[in-house]
Formats: sequence, C-alpha cells, structure tokens
Amino acid sequence: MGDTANIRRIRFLLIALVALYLTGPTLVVVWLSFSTDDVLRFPPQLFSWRWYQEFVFDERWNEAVLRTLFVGGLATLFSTTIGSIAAFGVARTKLPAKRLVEALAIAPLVVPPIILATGGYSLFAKLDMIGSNIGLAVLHTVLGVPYVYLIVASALARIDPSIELAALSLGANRWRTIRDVTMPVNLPAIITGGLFAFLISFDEVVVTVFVSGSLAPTLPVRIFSSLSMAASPVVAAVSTVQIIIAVVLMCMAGILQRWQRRWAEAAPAM
Amino acid sequence: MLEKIGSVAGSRVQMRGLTKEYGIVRAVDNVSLDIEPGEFISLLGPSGSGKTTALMMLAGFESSTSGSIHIGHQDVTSVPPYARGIGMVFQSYALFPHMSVFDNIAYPLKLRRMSKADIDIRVRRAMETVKLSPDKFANRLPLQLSGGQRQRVALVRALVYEPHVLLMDEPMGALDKNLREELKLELLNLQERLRLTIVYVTHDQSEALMLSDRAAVMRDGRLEQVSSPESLYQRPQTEFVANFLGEANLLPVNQSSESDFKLADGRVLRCSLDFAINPAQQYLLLLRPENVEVCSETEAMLQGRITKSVYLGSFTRIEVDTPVGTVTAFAKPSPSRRFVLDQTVGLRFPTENAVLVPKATRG
Repeated sequence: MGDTANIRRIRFLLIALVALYLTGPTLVVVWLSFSTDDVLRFPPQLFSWRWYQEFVFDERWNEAVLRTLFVGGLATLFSTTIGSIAAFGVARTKLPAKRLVEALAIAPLVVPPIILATGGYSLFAKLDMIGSNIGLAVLHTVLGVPYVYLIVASALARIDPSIELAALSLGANRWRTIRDVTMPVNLPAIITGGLFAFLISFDEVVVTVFVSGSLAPTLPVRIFSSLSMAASPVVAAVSTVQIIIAVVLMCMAGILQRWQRRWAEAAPAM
Repeated sequence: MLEKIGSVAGSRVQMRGLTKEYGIVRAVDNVSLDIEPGEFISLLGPSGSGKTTALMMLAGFESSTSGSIHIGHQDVTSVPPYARGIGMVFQSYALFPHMSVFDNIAYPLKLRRMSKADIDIRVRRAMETVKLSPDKFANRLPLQLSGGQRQRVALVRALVYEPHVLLMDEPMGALDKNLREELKLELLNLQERLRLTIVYVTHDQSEALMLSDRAAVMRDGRLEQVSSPESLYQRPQTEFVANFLGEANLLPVNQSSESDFKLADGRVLRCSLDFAINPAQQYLLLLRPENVEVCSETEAMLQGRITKSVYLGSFTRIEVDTPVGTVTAFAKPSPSRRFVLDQTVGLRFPTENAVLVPKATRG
C-alpha cells in the first residue's frame, strides 16, 4: 500500500513540474506586469496598474493594437475562406490533383517563416507595398490557411457525406446544399479554424518585421522592438493582455469543438 | 390521411445498358432493367456486386460511363440529382444533425417554396403517418432519437414531397432485428397504399424475398437473374442465385434421355425443363434442404452418415455424407426421433419436377 501511495505522490510531483515548466514563463510575465518599478526587474516591486494605464493611453500602443486587429481580421477572413474551400474541395469533390491542393494548403506549416518573409519582402519592395496592411494580411493568410484547412478537413472527415447527398435528393442544388447543410454542420470547425488563423496573425513577428517598413508595427513587433530599446514593464502588461486574449480564444475553440462533435455524433461518417 | 403523403402512383424506371467504369473496373456492367410503375424491386447481391453503384446512378450521384436512365417519359441520364424528383433513404439515415425533426421533414417542402401553413400541415400529417407524435418529436434533434425513430423521420422526409420513385439503400442495415421486422411491415403497408415505385438495395435475401414484387440478383456488376421472389427461390437460373438465396444442395447430374437425368449413383430424375439443355454444359440438381426428408432405410433414396447436427428449434439442420455428396436437410425432430452424429439415416426427396441449374464454370 505504501508503495502505491508513493508512486502516486511521485506522479503528482512530475505532473506539477511539467505544468510549471509549461506555464512558468507566462506566469512570470503576468507577475512582472503589476510591477511598480520603472524598469523590468525580477522579482518586481508590487503592486500597480500603471503599466496597464500606460498601455491603454499611449497612442503608439493604440495604433499597434488597431493595426494588429485590422491585419488579423483580414487574415482571418482570407484564410478561413481559402482553407475551408480547399478542405471541402479535397473531401467532397472529384477534382483532380487533390493531393497537390492538400500539400499546398499544409506547406506553410513546414516552410520556415523566414522564407515567406524574404519572398514577401522582395515582392512587396517591387510592388511598393512595404508597410501595406493588406499586403501583410495576405502574408499572414498564407500562415493561417494550414490551420483552417486541417481543422475543417478533420470535421468533414467525421461527418457522414450522405447528408449532403440527402439534400441533393430532396431537391437542393449544389449551392443550397452547401448553404443549408455543409456550412452550418461544419460551422463550429470553420469558426475554430478562423480563431487559430487570427491567433497566428496576432503573434506573428518574423514576416511582419520584414514587410512593415517604417510604419507602425503590430503588437508583437512593437513588444519586440520596445524590449530591445528600453525594458519597460509596459511590455509585460501588453503581453498579459495578449495572453488573456489567447486563453479566451482557446476556450472558445474548446466549446466549438464540443459543438462540432455533437453534429458528428448524430451523423457519423462510416 | 395516408393518401396525402407520397404520390398516388409511381413512375416507370428504365435502365438501358447502364455501365459504370472506375478505371479498368466495371462496377456496373451493361445493366438493363425495366421497373413497372408502382413496383417494389430489390437490387440484391453481395458487397461489390454493383447494386449500390447502380442505385447511385439512378439517384444521379454517380454519372454513368454509358447507357441511359429514364424516369417516367423523361431521359434523366444527365439530369442532376436535385431535378430528378426522386426520394432517397440512406442506410445511415442521413438526417441533418443541426435541424429539428420538423425542419428535417420540412426541408424539401421549403425548397419547393410551399407556404408556412402548408408546410406545417404536411409535416404534422407525415409524422403521424409513421407514428411519431408531432407534439412530442417535432422539436427534437436527430441526436435525441433512437435508431428506429431516425429511420422513420428519414422515410417521411423522402416521401413528404410526393416523389414518384423512392430509392432505398440498405435502409434497415443499422437496425436491430425486431425493429427491422416491424419497419418492413410498415414499409409494405405504406407501399400498398401509395403504390409508388420503390428500388430497394440490400444484401439480405430474406428482406428482398419478403418485400419485393421482383428482385434483381446482381453479381460482379451484372444482372444474374430478375424475377419474382418465388421463382428466384424455386427456379434459380444459375448456381450463384441458387446458393445466394437460402440454402441449396447442388448435386451433379448427367442427361440420360430427353427429360431424364441421372444422379451420380444412377438414380433417375424427371425434369420439366423451361430452358434448352446445352450438351456441353454440366448441370446440377437443386435440392432445397426443406424438401429433403429423413425416412426409414426401406424408403430411402440415399443413405448416409450424419456429419453435423444443429438443433434450431422448429427443425434440426443435419448434414449427411452420401454417395452423391454431402446433403443438407432440415429434419423435423420428434420424441421418437433424434439426430446424433455418426448415425446412419435414409433420405428421400421428390424426383418429379426436379430443378436443374447449369454448373458455373470457374474463371
């Protein structure tokens, strides 16, 4: 009996260690964000909201937030559309070269971002698009598509394709079938894909640094440059806000996944 | 009420030389079949026989490589599925998981731009037809229904807009046995009143025998035999059909005169042939196990040793090793008669009106 109790204690300790290892750095940032010091220092003097105030009232931070949201929103829209259509095409149509489409959709996951950044920079320099929000959104779209593709493709694979055939047999044409059946049944997965695409854009640094030029950078880039210039604890406050947003979006993704699973349970693919 | 759902009369369905090739594989090979208006026809065959592919072409989900399909007077060979005016029931029910029972059944009516009031009346009536109380079930999601209830919803959804042809793809496949029997009876009932044309795909021969006016046995993409359940069972035209429907003893015979045939042990059988004998062809005598009777040795036509004996309630299935081969018989047990292994028994069967089938040539 003593043995099993010991094993349980060791197992608990190991899990706690791994959990600490995974969340520790993040928790340190949250801790630092409530610092009263003028510079980043560990451990900080607590407790104040001054860095949050600075973040909220500083014009340059605001600009970065707006730009991040705008670029992120556009990138989300683009990648969700492209990724979902690609996943649908591969899973539900008889188009040739499906494997190629799949490979192209997933490729950005394995290609290092620096390559996209270099290519994007050369191209945009030529087109005079350095600093363009839309240009940046287009590049972020490339990074977001694989996530949307994989999430939507896995949802489609779990849902019985005969519900779409049923709609066709009942008199719905292809478009109505997609609108009335395919889209709503896979909506949770499509939204989840969109959340991921947004998060990818939301904390992308490498590509953004390359193609932003001298214009106001996005949040993560601004954090990066602030850190290299002056280590002000405002960076920790901004990061904490970012962490909270990421956590909220992940929780939403979890809820959406459960919702998607319900539909798949009612109409499982055989 | 019932006559308000489903069409009053079905359409004729004609397949002419229908072929589907996937690369070098012919999933459906030159199938021609005329289905009468109001007929219940089964496409029966093992998996891979092409029955489902044929149905998918009827529905318009698969294009045909060659051949044509007519529904009524219309050539629908290249008409998309949504314009064919058919109803279809899937093995997986294929209910829309995100719509309530009401919305599932109302969907085809909405597509036909019916008024809200009309849709409401029709859906309620349809639900009552299959004994689903609208008050209780209308707002449920498919997830909250049992298998049998889902199947009923799928059935009325396919009937509520009064199609002339109903296609069913193994609709009972996922249900347990008792429910299956119940739904079969309901389906027969419905068919009797609506007289719509039903094409029913199944691999279950008892289902096909019970439900259909005619059954089309398919094998390797071809039609093997199309006839009424009785003649499929009593007078199969090929060894495959004889074996596929029920159990069959097939004993080799040789022609001795015009209508007389000899078993391997020399016994002569008289056959009434409805086909011309090909002298180059080997024939087999079809003997259904229920027609083989266990008898005393003096009356016996064959004698042998029991090699297997399985008690099945209303009869005992025995396998007897005889000079002409192993013969299976469904024997009626009685208090005075038990069937045990290695026991020697006499067998007897009618020799008039014997049914012969050509022996299949392998390869």
